[in-house]
Amino acid sequence: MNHSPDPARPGRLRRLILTAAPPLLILVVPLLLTAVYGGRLPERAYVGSWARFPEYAPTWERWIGTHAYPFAIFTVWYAALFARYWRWPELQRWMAVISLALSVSTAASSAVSLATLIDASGPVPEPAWATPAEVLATLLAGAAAWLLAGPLPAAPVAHATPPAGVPVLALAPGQRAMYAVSTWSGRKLLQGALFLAAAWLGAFNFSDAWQGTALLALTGGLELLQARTLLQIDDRGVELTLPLLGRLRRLVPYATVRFAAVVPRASSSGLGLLGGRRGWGYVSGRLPVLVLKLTDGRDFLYSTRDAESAAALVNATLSRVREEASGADRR
Amino acid sequence: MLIVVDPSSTQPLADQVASSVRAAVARGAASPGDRLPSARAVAAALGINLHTVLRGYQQLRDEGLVELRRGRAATITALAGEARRARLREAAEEFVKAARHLGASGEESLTAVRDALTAGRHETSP
Repeated sequence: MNHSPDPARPGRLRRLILTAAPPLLILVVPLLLTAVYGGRLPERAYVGSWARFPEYAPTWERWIGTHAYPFAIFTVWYAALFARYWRWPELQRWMAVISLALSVSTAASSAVSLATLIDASGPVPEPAWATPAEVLATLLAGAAAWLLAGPLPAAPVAHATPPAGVPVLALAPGQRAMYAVSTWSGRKLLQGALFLAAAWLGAFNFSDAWQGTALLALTGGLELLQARTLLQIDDRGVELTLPLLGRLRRLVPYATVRFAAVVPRASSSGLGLLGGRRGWGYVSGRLPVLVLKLTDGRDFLYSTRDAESAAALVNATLSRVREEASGADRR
Repeated sequence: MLIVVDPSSTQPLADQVASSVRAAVARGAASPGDRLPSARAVAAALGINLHTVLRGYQQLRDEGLVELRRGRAATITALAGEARRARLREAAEEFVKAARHLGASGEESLTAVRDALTAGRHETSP
């Protein structure tokens, strides 16, 4: 049961600022640098691909103007995305990370390009340290955004026993039970391969910038590494493990589960650790799906042939724990 | 795969672990090629000794239901699938015998099976 009407509220303003403000760097950094070093720069902006085609290089004023579009587009895009997922703090934290990392990355690229042209009379080859420096700045900015976003608000705690009609395992008082299953997802493998193929094409055919290629490669790698999952239900809660992703674990504690149910098939497939607005987890679209109704209003979904037993065990544990707790309260 | 044990039962815990796996195969919750949870994970989750779980898995291996290989997860064998079908056929034959003994018609027998299946969806027992 939700005790708070908006559990995502704590820290949301901070996450919003960290998401919407960073694109300003894309515009401000080149503006400041040209203001400071304007007298020591060549006549035209031999930056990026214009270093290879100097006859087309714009004036510095026009070059700064080209940064206004990405600034405006990213600001509106991030703000709209944040508003769309207003009650999803986990995604908001990732949006803050991506926004600050990409904004710093773009600003760092501009700064490096401009710095190499100080006291130069024409195009200058990019120094060898430029890309490593940009990558380092991107990683540091992402880490800083993660830390600055702060801890996520705690999910509300459920107290009610599961409703009638859901599957419940008949467990005697002394009995102990666990449920474990491992699954491969063909869909994740395919998605990962497609993203990696797009990254490969981007790297060799279309783009000079490394950021887009790196983002595609990262997404592809993450999709591939989420292809195998382990689900374990025991006294601690429902634990999801990604063995290929460094055995990354995520525990759903019983306190945040209202009840478990089963649906014959998922209406959508895929999902992932973050998932969508309605839920997260791993579904194949063919097998029955274990559905955990969580207190934050989202669902955890997992496709498994014996979803009935998994849901029955979760509900039996919830009933046992919550009846014991209400009995202790009465005493 | 659901594994249930009762430490207060007179049945040895290793037998209970093996019974849970057999039950999962029998009701179609586990199929040939499926992996069993690691013995370490089962032992930790149920608060029982690792060697107890391994003894249960070895029983299943001796019965040909599970394949155990060093350094790899235990997997359900193809024999387990055949055993499941044979057991289901035996259970159906026993039910038919009981239904004939009671003088039930074919339609009545099928209705009873459908009702039992519907009821079983709402109440699952280990």
